[in-house]
Amino acid sequence: MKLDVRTYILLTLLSATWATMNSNIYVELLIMAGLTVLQVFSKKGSFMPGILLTYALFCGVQFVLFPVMPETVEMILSMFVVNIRSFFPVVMCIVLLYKNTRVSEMTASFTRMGVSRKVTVPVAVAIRYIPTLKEEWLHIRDAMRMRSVTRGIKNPFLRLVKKLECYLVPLFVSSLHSADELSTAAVTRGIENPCKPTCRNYKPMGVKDYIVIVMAVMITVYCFIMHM
Amino acid sequence: MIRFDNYNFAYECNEKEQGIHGIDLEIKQGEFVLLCGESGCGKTTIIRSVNGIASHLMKGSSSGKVYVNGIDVSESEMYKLSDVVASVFQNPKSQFFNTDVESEIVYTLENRGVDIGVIEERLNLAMKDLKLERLAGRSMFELSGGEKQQVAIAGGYIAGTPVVALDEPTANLDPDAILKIRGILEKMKALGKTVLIAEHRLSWLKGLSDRVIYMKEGRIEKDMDAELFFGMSEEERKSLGLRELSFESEKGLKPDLHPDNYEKRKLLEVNDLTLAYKKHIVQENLNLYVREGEILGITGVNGAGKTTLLRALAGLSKKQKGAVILDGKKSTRKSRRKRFGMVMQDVNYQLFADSCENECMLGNPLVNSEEAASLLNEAMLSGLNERHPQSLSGGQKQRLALAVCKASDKEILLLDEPTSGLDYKSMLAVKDTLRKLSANGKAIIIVTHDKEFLSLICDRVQKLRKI
Repeated sequence: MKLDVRTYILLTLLSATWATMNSNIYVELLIMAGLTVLQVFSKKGSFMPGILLTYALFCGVQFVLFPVMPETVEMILSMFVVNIRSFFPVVMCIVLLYKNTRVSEMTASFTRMGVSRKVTVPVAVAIRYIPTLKEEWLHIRDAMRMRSVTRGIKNPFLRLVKKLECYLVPLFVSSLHSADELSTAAVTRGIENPCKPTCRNYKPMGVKDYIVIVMAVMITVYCFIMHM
Repeated sequence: MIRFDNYNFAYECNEKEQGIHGIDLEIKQGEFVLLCGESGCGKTTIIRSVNGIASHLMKGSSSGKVYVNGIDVSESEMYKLSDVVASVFQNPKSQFFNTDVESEIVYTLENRGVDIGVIEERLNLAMKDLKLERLAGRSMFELSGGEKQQVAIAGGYIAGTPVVALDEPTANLDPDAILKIRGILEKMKALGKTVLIAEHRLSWLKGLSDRVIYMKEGRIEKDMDAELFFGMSEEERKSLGLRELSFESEKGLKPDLHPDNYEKRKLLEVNDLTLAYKKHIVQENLNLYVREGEILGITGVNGAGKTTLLRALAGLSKKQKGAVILDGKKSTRKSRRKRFGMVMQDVNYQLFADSCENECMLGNPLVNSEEAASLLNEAMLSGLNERHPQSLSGGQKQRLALAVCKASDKEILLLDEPTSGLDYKSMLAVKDTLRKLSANGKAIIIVTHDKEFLSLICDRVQKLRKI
């Protein structure tokens, strides 16, 4: 069950309001259950059990460990645990959006909605660039493992700074190159053409999209009312 | 179809690239023209002048005119030129914009606002014509470099432009992938397209090119009939600094041990090694060894696990089974990472410092400025001590990475496809640097498809079979 890219974007935006306004754990569990169902029935790879497990761990800490902990420790930890826990729905939505969005579909939907190319192109490039960034990071990590760049530096802080610098220098250089080559390739393929582009991958929203949107809006309204 | 009228282009602040000077050239419709010459001779600039990149996207000054299909390139909008010229670039990773194959192929047509029915019709036809059905529905990120280049050329094919300009499209590809690219270009030629291609690897273009333009220092030095060009003598070819001209035979494969190395001790032995790439077994019960001062070449088709083998040897990935023996003792991954140096296929990811000198000293507190200078000198990089490593050419970066391996006192050096994108002269420079290292007792293992390089440098070659 794949939803329209606009539905995923809306879900992600609304999930931010749930995270900040909702304080009812049962509503949050309901949201998480709903998003898990969406993930399970979406494209392969959308469902990440690791995220759910981490969420369960946070819930466990808050509801099982906190009551038996000394009050001061609980006070110190609860801010951290509760805040992170409430942002899990946002993470779930971002995973849904990222795993189910093809750049061409997103550009098609945005173009049909009349969004300017000045917005669509950078967003499309950003999404397309994420896997490349990961690949480049892994290459650099390998290179670093073969070479102890921090040998001879005793101060642990300076070691960290050096390591970070060694990761970032090649990453920036290759990002600049890639951005340059990518935009050159796009320009030679007519991206600047002022005519209305064809949206081959455009599909109108279906019933399932509307059902999900209505549910998401209902939850948002509930959170808003409770917050007031 | 293409006309250069006394055209000049000079880059602004670019040390690596040569502009072009006084170019007068006329290319007829349907001609297949090969541009060759050493790195930085200006062949890429010729391609950029045809597809408009030089005059529209590069910082530099130009004079004279270039016309493509009657259009003045510098006066025309880039999107109008994209109706006339299709471009394919060197790096398969950074020229696709969409994440799925079909959307990438039809991208130019979409930008032109072509009717969706026509797009689908042309797409189906192109997939069939170019035998790309197996790529349908796949993500661009899953494809090999060769497949990505096929998709890029298919984009040009479907766009129906009369001119196709390719800038070193096979620099990173293996022989099988190159043959597939050749197949597509044969179709383009049969359709009467004008093809302009800049290349270092020349042998695969024999029988396909009609005309060859040899460039030197930004000028056209020779403009020859292809038959005459590919018939030139070995001496002449080498004096022009060009790579091999004919499909290489198996002459590079030397299964026998070089007599000089019989007596030397085995530094590394691999027994019954089984390797997997993404849970898929790529090699089973592999045995190999390398002696002190020996240069071992490893070749084999794509998917035979060559890079996986290097990564396992270097201690970067786990082996499934078997033993890697160093100095007669079983080794751990961590110990191998200390004793092995590696030059990756994309050497950009392993250069971290702000100057070549600092690169040699980074992580090697015992290397001082003088020693760094002598290491750079040995790697034929003298005078570049203060240059930023990322501003060097491909061959220079590789030699710098080798100098770093020597500085860190690595005993066994692993090189992954060291000649991709290198011209003849740079290849010889890499060879000389490696020879010096082997004379110092370093054992070297090179993974490459490049038979010309294998025959030039390796003492022994082991071929990996795909299982």
